[in-house]
Amino acid sequence: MRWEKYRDLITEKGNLPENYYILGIDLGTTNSVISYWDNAAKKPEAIDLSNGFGKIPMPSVVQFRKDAYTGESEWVIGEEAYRSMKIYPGTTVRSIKRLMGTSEKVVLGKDSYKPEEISAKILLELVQHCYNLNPKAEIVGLVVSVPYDFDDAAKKATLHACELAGLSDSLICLIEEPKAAALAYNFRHSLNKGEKIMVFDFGGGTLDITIFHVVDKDESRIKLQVISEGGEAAHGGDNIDDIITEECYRIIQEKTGQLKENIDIENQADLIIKSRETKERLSGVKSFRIPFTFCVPPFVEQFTRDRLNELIQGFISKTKDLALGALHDAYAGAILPDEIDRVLLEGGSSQMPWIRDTLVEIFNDESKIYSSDRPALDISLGAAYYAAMKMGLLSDPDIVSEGPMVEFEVVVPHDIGLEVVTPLGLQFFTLIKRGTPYVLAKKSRTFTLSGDTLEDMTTFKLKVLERIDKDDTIEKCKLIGEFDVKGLPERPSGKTKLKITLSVTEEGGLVAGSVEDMGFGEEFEPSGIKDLLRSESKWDT
Amino acid sequence: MYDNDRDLNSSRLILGIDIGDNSSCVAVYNTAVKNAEIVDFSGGYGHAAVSTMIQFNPGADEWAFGENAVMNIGDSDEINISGLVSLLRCGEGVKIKDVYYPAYKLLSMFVKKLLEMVCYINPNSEISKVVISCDDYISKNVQLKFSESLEYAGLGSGDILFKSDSECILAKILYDEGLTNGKVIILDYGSRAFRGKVFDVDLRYDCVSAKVDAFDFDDEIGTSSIENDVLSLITTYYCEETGLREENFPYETRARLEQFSRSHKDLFFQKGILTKPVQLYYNFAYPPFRKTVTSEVSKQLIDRYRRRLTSFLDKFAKHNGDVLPIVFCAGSGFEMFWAREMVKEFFKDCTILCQKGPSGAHAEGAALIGASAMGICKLKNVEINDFYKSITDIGILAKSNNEMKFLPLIEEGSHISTGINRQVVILTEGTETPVYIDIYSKSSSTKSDPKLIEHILVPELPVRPKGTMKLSVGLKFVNQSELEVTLSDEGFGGIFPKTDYAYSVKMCLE
Repeated sequence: MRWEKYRDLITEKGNLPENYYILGIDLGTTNSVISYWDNAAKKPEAIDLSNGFGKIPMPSVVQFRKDAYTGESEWVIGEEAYRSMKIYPGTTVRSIKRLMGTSEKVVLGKDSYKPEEISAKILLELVQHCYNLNPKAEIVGLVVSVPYDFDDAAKKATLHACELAGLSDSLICLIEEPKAAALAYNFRHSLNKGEKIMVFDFGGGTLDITIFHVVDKDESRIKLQVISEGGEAAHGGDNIDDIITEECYRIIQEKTGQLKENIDIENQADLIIKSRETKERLSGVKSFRIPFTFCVPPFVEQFTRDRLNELIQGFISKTKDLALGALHDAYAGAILPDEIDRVLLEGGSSQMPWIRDTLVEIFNDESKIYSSDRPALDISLGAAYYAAMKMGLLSDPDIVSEGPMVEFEVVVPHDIGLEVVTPLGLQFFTLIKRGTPYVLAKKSRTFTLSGDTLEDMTTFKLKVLERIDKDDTIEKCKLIGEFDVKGLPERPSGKTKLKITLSVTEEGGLVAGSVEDMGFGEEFEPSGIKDLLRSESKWDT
Repeated sequence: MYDNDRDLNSSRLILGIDIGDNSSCVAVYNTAVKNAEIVDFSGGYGHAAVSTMIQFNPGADEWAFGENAVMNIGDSDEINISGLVSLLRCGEGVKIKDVYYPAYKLLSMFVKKLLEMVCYINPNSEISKVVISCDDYISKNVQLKFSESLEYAGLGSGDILFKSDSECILAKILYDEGLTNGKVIILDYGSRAFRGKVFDVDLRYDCVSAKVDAFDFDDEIGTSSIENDVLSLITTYYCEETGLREENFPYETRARLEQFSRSHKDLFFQKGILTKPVQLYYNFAYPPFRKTVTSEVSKQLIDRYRRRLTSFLDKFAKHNGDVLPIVFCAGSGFEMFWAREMVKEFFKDCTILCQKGPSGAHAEGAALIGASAMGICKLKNVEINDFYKSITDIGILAKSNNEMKFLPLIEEGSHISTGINRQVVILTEGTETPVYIDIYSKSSSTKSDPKLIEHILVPELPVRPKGTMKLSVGLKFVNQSELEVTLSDEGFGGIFPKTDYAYSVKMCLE
């Protein structure tokens, strides 16, 4: 049964039945979290995967094992997959989120898998933990988070992953991660009217920077407007792990002469684990010793925090530039650091000391830097909260403890447009500008069709593109879809006007569109042909 | 004082702190949700509690705290200091780089770090109130030292309130509207002991009166013992696989195994092990190896604890008679599913309150008491009548600076579950003549002279001339009316090395 029907049932019953579960999932690059709406406590609650020991985030690691003798195979997902990486280095997949929306496949043994197929396994494992909590659980509604910077293809891949995991009917929508984080934060802390808040979400894979303006607030509702966004899709804690790993290879070569390509895959996996450990440990202490036990001879290398900061200096500078960029490129004009009232640190990687130091440098005020109390969980909690909102649970006047209802005025993060042919060659033509509020994100434009042959006038390819960075040339733009428009009336060149409409859905930020024949003045009447721009996934309309 | 919560903006923090010997927890009263919430120092990655440990790394000239300290053990020649509250009780300190750090200063460094981490959540916040949940009835003397250390950490004396663990738990049950007239059993499964208390609760108009009907503890089944058993098993697996002998382990290997045990111990006690064996991946070994742990292994590990807990709960259940009590489970020991299941089985017709994150219950209750003290929330005062505490100081007489002084080993007001306290003395006479240790009681409130309560002949001491026998004298309660005196040889510098001489005897209290 679809989530809408469950929502109607819940409204009819006037309560949430005990076995109905409304979920929020943070499908992260390094770790994933699942939360549910606890209606008795009137708040979202993260599901403890360790059944009482408080371990909540699940490593987003998927492993395929095949027994060489029996031929039996199994998929192992999460903590155990991460812990056994060294034993199964060739068939362990990490950071699959970075491949979402690409055509790259993961090869495991003889088979290859699309990124969404791997993601689906993570989703299934997370949902299984919900059933562990309550074997009679019925999943009635679900919201999954995506980075703000995810392009259309990556969002569609996430939807496809949900489909593969059998969650299509329960999936309410996707939610941008900073939005989820702001929801979770507002739930437990007071935001003030007029405040400008920068959510600095630094996770394993991505850096999402979003600036919100609290445009309105009263006792029952709070309205947050997105006024800028920034960050980068492949700029996260995992990048730092990679830098440390490369440094380890350099140290090994220097000390033992052994080259990277000659190091066994098991030991390479060991270095990946050690690199992450080094990064985490140096967040708490100033020095750490890395044992290189597999080297001949084995040795120990001292790593200090200063040395790490030196190694990642380029990364730190880029992070600073991204934060400054979000301020500078705000939709309505540059924002000065002084105008920001609060910087909220979210994401598991935000606890590294250099992050705080960098932000203090930018804002020149330590008292503006707030750490979330549970940076690893907020996105999932916010997603669960949003799911509960969508299921109509938060309109209950008895729910006073959660504070005002949150409304978002979210904007389209990237330019959406078309590839057009001009005398200067192929150009990107913007239809929906970045920063356009979703409620206004439906734009039409009329173009004149011209061609050399009759075929050119009756069929053509329309490319819808997404320009991530405003200075990107057409070659760098990401393809949202390529559509074959056919069956147009036969007319001379330049005598067909086509109205092309693009829109972006508020829930999940997906692009949809249509092409309509407008005829040509009094000469040719509109033929009534109107095509919806469709791609493979059913979610684009 | 605040009339209502609208007057208290979120920049004022009301904290409840539970500092245990093994781990500590901090809760904040959240005005937005009108309840106490645990501050998760792991950021959501694991235990909200933080290990009560501080560490000095001479190489880096750096102090580390909590989990950062624990993870660093064995990495270099660090100095690890744990059991900070016990150190405070004993009045012991530590010398580091020729600087002596008394116990109160070490504790203050730890508390200061905790407060710093809490303030990251709101850097503009001020701490308005801190309520410390302390071991039931720590003595006034220890409380003073505790206060001193908190003031040293930057808190004003007016900001601090001490409440017993039981008061905090009862406050929490009261706030969550689970408290009714009748019997309440609080089961506290901590690192040192399993403790149980039966309260007879009377909800009055202006307060809650709770009389202790029964109390018992078992200090052989604390979670530290279980952790030691897990470590022992993990070490055995390592030795079996590598062929190495434990006595030949370098310090780094031992430290690595301890870390491994700490981070994997929960796998033995999660419910999942009943349906699927658990794999231990010894990645730090070379070559790495895997060990499978079945539910049978887990059962064997907890077998003796189950048996002891069964007889403990059996005794306890009898205290209620026909009345069905409310049972509250607190302490990190209840993270283990077998402990929760046992309580559910024993008290199957009763209301059992076992929250998620049972280790945070004391801190949450403390924060609620703090909020009530500030007028933010309405919570009746909880008054506890408990006779399971020492009514006098108990100790020995010894000469110090040419003056005979009474040295208390058990302080007035301290709970009978407090554990052993020691004092080291040097015998003025040689051990060839009979040696007696006299135990005295003294009331600190009446300031009367010490009264002799036991005259103990110490048998078979090592032969030493006068002035060279250094003896450690320890006292602890066995139960409400019985003490155990333990004596051990401390050696005498390089002249007389320490022997394994030990003697213990029980004595009755009137």
